[in-house]
This record gives sequence, C-alpha cells and structure tokens, in this order.
Amino acid sequence: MQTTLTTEKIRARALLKSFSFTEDHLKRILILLLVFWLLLGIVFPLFPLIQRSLTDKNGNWVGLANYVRYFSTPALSISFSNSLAVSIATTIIAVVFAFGYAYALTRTTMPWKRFFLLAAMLPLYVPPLAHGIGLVYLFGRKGLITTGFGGLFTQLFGWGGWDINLYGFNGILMGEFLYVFPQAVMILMVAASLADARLYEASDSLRASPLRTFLTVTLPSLKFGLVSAVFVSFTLVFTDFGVPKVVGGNYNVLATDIYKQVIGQQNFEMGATISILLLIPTVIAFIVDRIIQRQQAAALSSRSVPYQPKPNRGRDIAAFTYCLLITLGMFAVIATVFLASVVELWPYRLNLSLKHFDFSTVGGGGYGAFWNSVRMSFYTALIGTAVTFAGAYLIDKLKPYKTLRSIAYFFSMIPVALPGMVIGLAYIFFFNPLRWKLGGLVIPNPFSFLYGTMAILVLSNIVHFYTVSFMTATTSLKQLDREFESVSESLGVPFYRTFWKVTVPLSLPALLEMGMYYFVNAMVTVSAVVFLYSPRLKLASVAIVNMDDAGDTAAAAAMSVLVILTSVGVRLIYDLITRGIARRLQTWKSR
Amino acid sequence: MNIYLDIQSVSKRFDRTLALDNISLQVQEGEFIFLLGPSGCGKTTLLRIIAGLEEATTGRILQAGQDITRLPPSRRNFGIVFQSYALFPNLTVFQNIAYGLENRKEMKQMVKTRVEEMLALMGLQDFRNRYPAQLSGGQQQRVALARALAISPGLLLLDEPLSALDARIRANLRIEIASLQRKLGITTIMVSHDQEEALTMADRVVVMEKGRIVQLDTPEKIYHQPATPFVADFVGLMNFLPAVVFASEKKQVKVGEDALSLEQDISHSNGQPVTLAIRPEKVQVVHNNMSHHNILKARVDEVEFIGPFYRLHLLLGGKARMIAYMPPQNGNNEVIREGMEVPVFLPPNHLRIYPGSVSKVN
Repeated sequence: MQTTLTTEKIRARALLKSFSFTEDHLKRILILLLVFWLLLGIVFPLFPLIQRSLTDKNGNWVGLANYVRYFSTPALSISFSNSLAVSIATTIIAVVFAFGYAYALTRTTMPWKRFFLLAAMLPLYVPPLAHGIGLVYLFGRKGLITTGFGGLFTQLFGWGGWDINLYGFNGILMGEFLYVFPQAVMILMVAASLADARLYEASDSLRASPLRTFLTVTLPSLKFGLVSAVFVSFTLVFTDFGVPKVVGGNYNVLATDIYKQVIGQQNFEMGATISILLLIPTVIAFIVDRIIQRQQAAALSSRSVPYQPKPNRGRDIAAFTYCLLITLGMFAVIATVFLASVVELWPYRLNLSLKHFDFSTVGGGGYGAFWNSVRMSFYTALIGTAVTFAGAYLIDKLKPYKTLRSIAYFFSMIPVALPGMVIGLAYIFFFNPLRWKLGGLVIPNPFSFLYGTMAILVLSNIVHFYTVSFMTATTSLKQLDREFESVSESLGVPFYRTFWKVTVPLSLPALLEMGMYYFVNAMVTVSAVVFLYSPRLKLASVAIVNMDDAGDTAAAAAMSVLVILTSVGVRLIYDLITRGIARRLQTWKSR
Repeated sequence: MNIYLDIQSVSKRFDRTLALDNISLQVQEGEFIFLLGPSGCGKTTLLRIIAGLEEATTGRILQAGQDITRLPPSRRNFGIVFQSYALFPNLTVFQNIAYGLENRKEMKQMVKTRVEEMLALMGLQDFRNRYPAQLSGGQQQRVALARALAISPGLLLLDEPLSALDARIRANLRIEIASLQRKLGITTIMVSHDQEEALTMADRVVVMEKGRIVQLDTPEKIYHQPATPFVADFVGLMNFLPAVVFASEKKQVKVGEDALSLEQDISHSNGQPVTLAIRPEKVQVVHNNMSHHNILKARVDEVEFIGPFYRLHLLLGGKARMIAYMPPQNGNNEVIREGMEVPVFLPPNHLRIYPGSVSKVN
C-alpha cells in the first residue's frame, strides 16, 4: 500500500516537472518563432506573387496566359533578351577586368596596393543610380565629353567632343560595370589569397614556363572564384534597376519593365509575371553557384602555404598602370557626380554653387527624404543585425528541432536569390490587401497595417540583405568553441546568459560588420523600396530616381552626394570602432 | 564501497550506426575510471551520454541512486573538462571559475571565497586577472578543471583533457590530476586514447572497441592479462605467434617444431590453431645453450638502439617475427649483431593464449 502511494507521488511529481517551463521549452519556442518570421518575411510573400502572375485583373485563374502574352508581345519580350544581352556582356567585361585587378593586387609587388584595394571598394558606397548620373554628366546629351568640355574643345582644337550614344546598351554596360566591378574584385581576391605557394614552388622547380604555370596552377586555383564572380555579377546586373532607370533610355530591361508596368500602368499581373521571369535566371545561378561552392570546400587543402609574390619590374609597372587607369576611370565618374552637384549649370557655367543642395524647389522629398533614409538604414542595421545574428545562433548552437533548424537554414539562403524588385512587389501583394483570398477562403490580413509604414521598409531591407549577413554571423559563430554551450549546461548556466556574456562579446566584429553592411545597403538601395515607400515617407534613393525623371539631374546628383557621404561616413565610424575593439579582442584571441 | 554511477544496458544509435552497444558499467564512489579505446570506439559518446549532452537510445543511468537518464545536463550533478577546455576567452581566469557559481545566486562573498579556494588548489593565484589566451596550455587546463570543480560536483568528467598538450607537460599534469582526484575523492571518468595515461592514472580501465566494452580491469590486469588480442595490441606492444595446441592437459603448445609450456589453462583441444602472445620486455635472449624449457631459435634481423635498451627484431621459422627488448648490459657482455642466430626464452608465466590464427590478430 505504502509503496504504491510513493510511486504515485513520484509519478505526480514527474508529471508536474514535465509541465513546468524549462530552458528546453524556451529554446523550442525561440526556434519556432524564428521559423515563423522567416516564413512571414521570406516564404509566404512569394506565393501571392506567383498567384498574381497566373491570374487576370479580376483575379480569375488564367494559367500561363500572362507569360504567353509577354513573349508574344514584341514590345514586352524585347526586355528579356535585352536583359540577357546586357548582363552577359557586362559580366564578361567586368570579370575579365576584375581578374586583372585582383591578380595585380595579390600576385605582384606593385606599389599603392592598399590604395587600389580601397579605391576598388569605393563604388560599394555609391548608389547604382549615382553611377548613372555620373555617366550622364560625362557622356549624356550635355555631358562633358559629349560636348567637348562645353564647347571648349571646339574653340581650342576645332574638334567638338565625342558622343558615345550613352542612353541604352552602352550606358547600362558602363554603369553596371562600375556597380559589379568591386564585387567581382572582392570574390576573386579571396580566391586568389587561398592559393598554395608550394604549388608555385613545385612548378618553378620543375622548370615550367610562366605561361604553363599560369594555365596549370593559377587558373585552376581561381576556377571556383571565377565561377562565383560570374554568377554574382550576372545576377546583380540582371536584376539591377538603378542604372537602366537613369541611362537605359528606350532600351527596356526586365527591372525597368516591372517598374513601368506597376507604377506606370498599374498592371500588377504583368509586373508579377515579369518578376517571375526575373527570378528564374537568378535562382538557377544561385543553385549552380551553391553546387560549385560545395565542390570547392572539398577541393581546398587544409594546410596551404600563402603565396608571396616576388618583385618583377616589368610586370609590376604594367600592373600599376592598369590599376591606376581603372581607378581613375571609376573616380572620374564619382568625382563628376560631386562636381555636378556643386556647379551652377553643367557644363556651361562651372562656378561653384550649393543651390542644388536646396531641394525646396524640386520634387522627391528633399531633406525629409534624406533623413527618412538615414532613419530607415539605422533601424535596418540595428534590428537586422539583432534578428539575423539571433537566427544564425538558434540554427547553429541550439539542439532541439534538428529538421526545423535545417529548414530555417534553407529559408535563410533564399533571399540572396531574390531581386529587390521581386521582394518589393511580393510585399505589395502580401501586406497591402485587407484580406487574403486562398482559393475560396477569405482570411483577414493581420499585417495590412504595416503597409506604407517605416516598418515594412525596414522589413523589406532586412530580407533583401539577409543572406549575406546571415552567412557572416554563421561563419563567426562556427569559429567559437562548440563546447561553450555544453560547459554552460554542465555548470547549470542558462543558454541565454552565455549568449550575452560570451557569444555576443566574442562576435562583436561580425556584429559590427553586419550592421555596417545593412546600413550601407539600405541607404543606397532603390529596387525593393521603390514599391513600398509612401508619399508621406519618401526616401533619398527614390528621390534620386524621381528628380532624375523630372529632369532635375543636378539635384539628383546632390542627393547622391549626401547618400555617398553618409555611407562613407558610417564606414569610417565602423573602422574607428573596429580599431578600438581590436586591441581588446587581441587579448582574447587564442593562439 | 558504494556504487555511485550505474550505467545499465545503454545503447546509442546514430542513424544507421550503432555507436554504443548495450554498455553496462558500475562506477564506485571516489573511483577514477578510464574509458580507453581508439577513435570511433564510442568512448566519447558514452561520456556525453553520462553528461546528458547526448541522449541514450535505450538503457538507464543512475547517479547516486537517482535516475538521470532523461535529465538535461543542467539538472545533473557533474563537472566537465573538454579537450579544447572551452574556456570563455573574453572572461578572466577568476570570471571563468566563478561562471557556474554566480548563476546559483550564491552570495558575492561566497563566490569570491570559493573561487579563491579553487585558485589556491590549482596554484593559479597569480593568474586570476589574466585572460585564457595569456596562459600556457597547462595553465588553461587547470583553469578548466577549477571551473568544473568549483560547483562541487559529485562526478567529474574529463574528455581527453591532456591530448592538446605536449609530452612533457602532459606527464606532469597526469600526476597532478591523479593526486588531485585522490585528494578530493571525487568520482571521475576520463576519456582517453592514450594507454600510458590510462595505466598510470586509473583505478580501473574500461577498454572499448566498436561500441562495446571488451575489458574492465585494473591497469595491471589490463596490461598483464589482456582479455583479447585487441586489448593486448592496444595497450602496450605485443608479439603474436601462430601456434598449435599440442597437449592441452599439460598446458603445452607447439610453435613450428618447438614445444612451449604455459601457466595459463588451455581450453582448446589438441591440434587446434591458437595465437600466443608475449610482451617484448618478457622475451629473453639467452646465449649459452643451457637446457632451458621454452626456447625458440631466432635470427637477429635488425638491432635498434633506443637508449635504455636495445630493440631486437627477430625472425623465427616461417613468417613469424618477434620484437624483444634487451638491456645493454646483458650479463655476459656478448654483443648481439644482425644476422646472428640466438636462442630466445619465453617464460611460461608471461605467455598468453588466444583462440584463432595469428593472421586475424594482426
């Protein structure tokens, strides 16, 4: 009798214990929340986009009729082949030039390496639109070069300038080159820095010619980097909106077509259809790139000796000249934007004036828009970094729900394949309506209040730039000892305490990098937010588009200058903070 | 002695592979137990299951009489030191040791007292404000031990804590850990693939192979009476010779044409192939043909000078080879050279016998 009583007591106690809220429950809830937000921010909005591309204006199912109409209307379908043509051309040129640049930086002993590295990264802080504006001021109808320095050349040499037919293919090619060049250089430099010096020593000792060494050692070691650079460049150009908007003229590409269909003609169905067409090549590029990167991980030997280039006068001078020319070209465009913003009337009255920085006489929103952008970028950086890092932590460090965590990882990879235009349009369809129609079902939309708010702008930016930040966080977390969590558990310390006291301090460099990345990108992006801003909440990058559209190019240049200065300023602050904490981190770094 | 930890038929399955196959093990209170085996034998998995970092697929674990099989690590009562130490690099030595105490809402002064106690115990007083990266490997190891012991756990788990250190420090720390364990009297389980570590430090050694326990004994028994050829080969160096049972009642076998006597009982019937085993240091090279029993003729294939002794590579008849250790001063000062024919004496009390032929063993 007594024994049964005690066993019952024990059972009851065990039952009670199992109901009490434990750390494990908290972990599970957090992982579920993560999956929920990834579904809401990334996955679900894609469904109405696909749905809209398969329906007509009244919401009736039409199958692939929209796609058929797109391809059978030459005025529309031309944009697909245009996009392909200009993307492939830019990719080839940008990757070839970037290869030379990266090669010069890593495999020669030319002077000014640090300067050239920084110079190549400068375009990252410039909105693609601004590249376009710079090109307009150089090669446009009243461009400096087109008019021969405002007629100066005709007076001096009797030769009147050079019209390169900027608007169209040429302009897009040049603008996109400036946009993707830094990205390609970065990827190729990382690949080049992984080269194994021992292979070069072996090749030298076997008396292989420099050409043979290049073909058998250098190229194969850069193979994966080259492939990656090609796919990234292609995707960036294929989906970019800013450059073709400014210098595309009548040369229609997919991104500008979506904008025209949605903003110009309110034809959301065709916009959705073109969005899906925009999405297909980027998804394919993404998948192929992933497969190749996986092979690379297997091919890399763990202990390679870094390559140290030896001086070679002829080669070094050639490399220096090459880099200098490219750098001057890039600087010329950006410098033109700066110059154009501070002269009275380009290129005829070149006296300095700050009147273009007084945005009161032009549309677009002026300083209000600028500060909105700064606020939006700040929130994106703050919330984005927190959410992304937490997401990466939950996926990498916690143990419950193994399958769910791999699904969350997969969801986290999706945004890198989503062009900004697609995210923007998908968000309109998902967050705008008051109810969702699912087949015959009508569900009230609990998120429709977000539409037109700062929150949706921030959300779209976080999603747009999620994957790269997520990878930064994951890489940093994977470098931490995986037993930190086990030790904490054994000491009875809850995981969230170790997260705060150990994981976050140790990940500070990664967190800052993520914040900087979010801020700069949110500041310069236009593609996603162009569909989501509201007249009460204008943005600087959108203002550049609208001012340029209205012919207020000088004001657009001035706004570009503000955006560039803000981005570069944030970068400088980031460098200062990073340097400040570097010393402290040094004392933590294990040997 | 009380049984402190009782592992009952624990198995662990990872997808398709069986990492632990029906492990049962009883650990006495205050005992120092070693889990020894090659990588992939399941020793680390067993330790992690004891810690609650992995979950057993089947079986039960009792700690001090309480069933802890399904408890999370935080509700168990153990301290753990990992191979990497997993010291928090951004916390000082003091903060690392205090890490588990502060959470227990103990009074600040009590935390301080306890940490100071641990610092004194480990001889780390001068390093309390250093960061882990500023310490040597041995010091880091002590901090990890202090952190694990600060919470006064009932059980100490050590996951190859010495393998990241270089040989000399490792030898010192071996003695240090063993004496600390004895001083504190804390039940300790240590995972290792280093047989020397196990022999010098353990009260009892659990030799594991492919997810099973193959022998559980004192270090002496493990070394002198290995239960299987695997244990014999894994712990120390062992010569294996093919033999045939010749007269089981007289405990005699034949190697080639020579008869050898054993002290161990022979359970195999006459004519069965078996494997003889003998440690190299037990093989004696004799110079005069005095009528010893248990003599085999061998030819010296190679002589290596090791320092404290010579290592002789001997060829027996057929393909059999043997290694013998010989002290430099062999009594009669005769120099042994390569190519010499020498008789070797295999003492009956040091010969072990295993079923099956030699090819299976090596």
